[in-house]
Amino acid sequence: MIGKQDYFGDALRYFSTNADLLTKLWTDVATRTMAAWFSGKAHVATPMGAREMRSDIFKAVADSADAFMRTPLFLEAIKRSLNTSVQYRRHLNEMLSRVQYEFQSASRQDVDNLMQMVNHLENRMADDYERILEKMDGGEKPLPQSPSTGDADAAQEHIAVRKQKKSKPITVAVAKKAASRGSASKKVPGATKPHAPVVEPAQKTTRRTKKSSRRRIYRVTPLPI
Amino acid sequence: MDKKSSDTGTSAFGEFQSAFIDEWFANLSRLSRLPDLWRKAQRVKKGATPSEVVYEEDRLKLLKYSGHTARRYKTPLILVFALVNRPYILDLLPHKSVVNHFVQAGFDTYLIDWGVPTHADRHLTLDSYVNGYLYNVIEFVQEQTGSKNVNVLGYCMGGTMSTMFTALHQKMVRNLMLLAAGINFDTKDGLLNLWSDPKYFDVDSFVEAYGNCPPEYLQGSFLMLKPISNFIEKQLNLMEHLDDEKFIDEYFTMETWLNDNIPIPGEIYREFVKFLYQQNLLVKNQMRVGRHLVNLKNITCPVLNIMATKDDLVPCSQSEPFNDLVGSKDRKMMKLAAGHIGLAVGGRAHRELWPQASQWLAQRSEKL
Repeated sequence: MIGKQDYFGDALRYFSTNADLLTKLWTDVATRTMAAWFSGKAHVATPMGAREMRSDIFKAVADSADAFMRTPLFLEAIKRSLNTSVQYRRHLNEMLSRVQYEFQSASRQDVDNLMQMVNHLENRMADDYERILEKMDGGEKPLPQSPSTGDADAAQEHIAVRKQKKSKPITVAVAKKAASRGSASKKVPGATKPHAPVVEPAQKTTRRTKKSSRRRIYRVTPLPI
Repeated sequence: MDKKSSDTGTSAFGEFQSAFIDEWFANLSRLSRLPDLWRKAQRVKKGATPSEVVYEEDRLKLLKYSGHTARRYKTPLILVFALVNRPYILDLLPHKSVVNHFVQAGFDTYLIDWGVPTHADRHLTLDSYVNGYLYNVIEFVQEQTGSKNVNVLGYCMGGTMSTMFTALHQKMVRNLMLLAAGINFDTKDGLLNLWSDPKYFDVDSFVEAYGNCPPEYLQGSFLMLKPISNFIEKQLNLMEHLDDEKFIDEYFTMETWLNDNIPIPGEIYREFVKFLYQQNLLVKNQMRVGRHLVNLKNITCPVLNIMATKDDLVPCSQSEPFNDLVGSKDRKMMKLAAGHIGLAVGGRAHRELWPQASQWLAQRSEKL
């Protein structure tokens, strides 16, 4: 018995009240099996004939099993068994955490909480970064147009000002903006490769901040083809 | 009893006796092979086509396959497998390798091995996989091959993730192939759909208690989809083929893969069950991956939707609606009378399906 509930007793009571359904199930299995047995192959005395008959019987039983696994009786039974297993697991986790707490050691729950916090921080930073990019794309004044030098030079000028403020993400954003305006063929000095693709607002996608553990293995020798 | 029926009865009894003795000796011969089975089970090789790891990120490994055929297409192919089980089912045996079909056709072929998640990975979400890992892998392959876009083949859960990726990053995908991918979950054909009904399955409390979804739980659910076949027929079949070397080799290779289960990160499992199986948000274009809505109409590239008519895990009714939901004009559907795994390892699949699929892809890929 786990907690205050008598799960075993509950399950027994549940099955006893559904005896009709169970009886129907067994009758069904027996009928189908007998039908397979007397399907005309029973007289075949060769191993192949016996195998065919066996296969028919198994098919009949499998069909009954499939039908049974769709009944509310079975679904309720797996629900109960899952609930019991979840309750048991919870109690176990709680007990182990308490023991570890008493021994002043870190429990899995502590590590989980820490991981969750790191994940939230990562998400918040990624969201903030994206919001800044959106702001840059939507709210910023357009880059000054210069008839003599074109967009790229204006972008470079703009980047130089930004660089003085040591704002790397903005530099990338401006470079991206310049690139999206058609001046991508001229390389903007100081600008790094934009990570996220330039997409329409409706399709804008996030690319998560790369993890520090990310590592790439570049091959040195070409593959033998 | 007349003479004729008496003769027939005697002859049938004689036939039965003879068959019984033959079968008895055959069984003795089969049983003599039993001690050798353990050695064979230990010998199973995982993966048939030569490959090497070209990219790693956290637990993810990207395998690049090499063959004797020269590269003919500039557009590479990336195989995206599910988070359940290991991906070598796509390259199980030399004569049953999906990977080999594409390598032989002249494609640069890559396979994503998501790795085995630990408890520390329980917070990984669809966003981490689709917009994180998958995005990085495809970008890496683009850099490596110099191709502007890639071909993606997603299998099962990997197909669902590939669909989401393509809807969010259409420009990066040239052709999308789905293999038994769940798209429309509002169907009662599959037992998994019934079992994950919110009335009977509280996924939140399950993930809270277990963290990652345990592999034993998944394995148990899959086996219960066909209990008679998995628990009885399969064992009998093995007993009857103990003297068949080829059967035994294939049986153990298959069993090794089937029992090579891995956990699914808790959060992504929760998202899959809650938002797809229980709320069916993908077909409603309400599925969120991170902060972004997945709109299937954004998929405009050619799509090939492959499904198996005897699939218990992802019934056809789950995959079929996909072609009507996308914005693509070039869309094709292929059905094979096979099971979920049969699509990857079935003899018929390798004779009929994969040559056609490979040809379909070749016609739509950039040539060198």
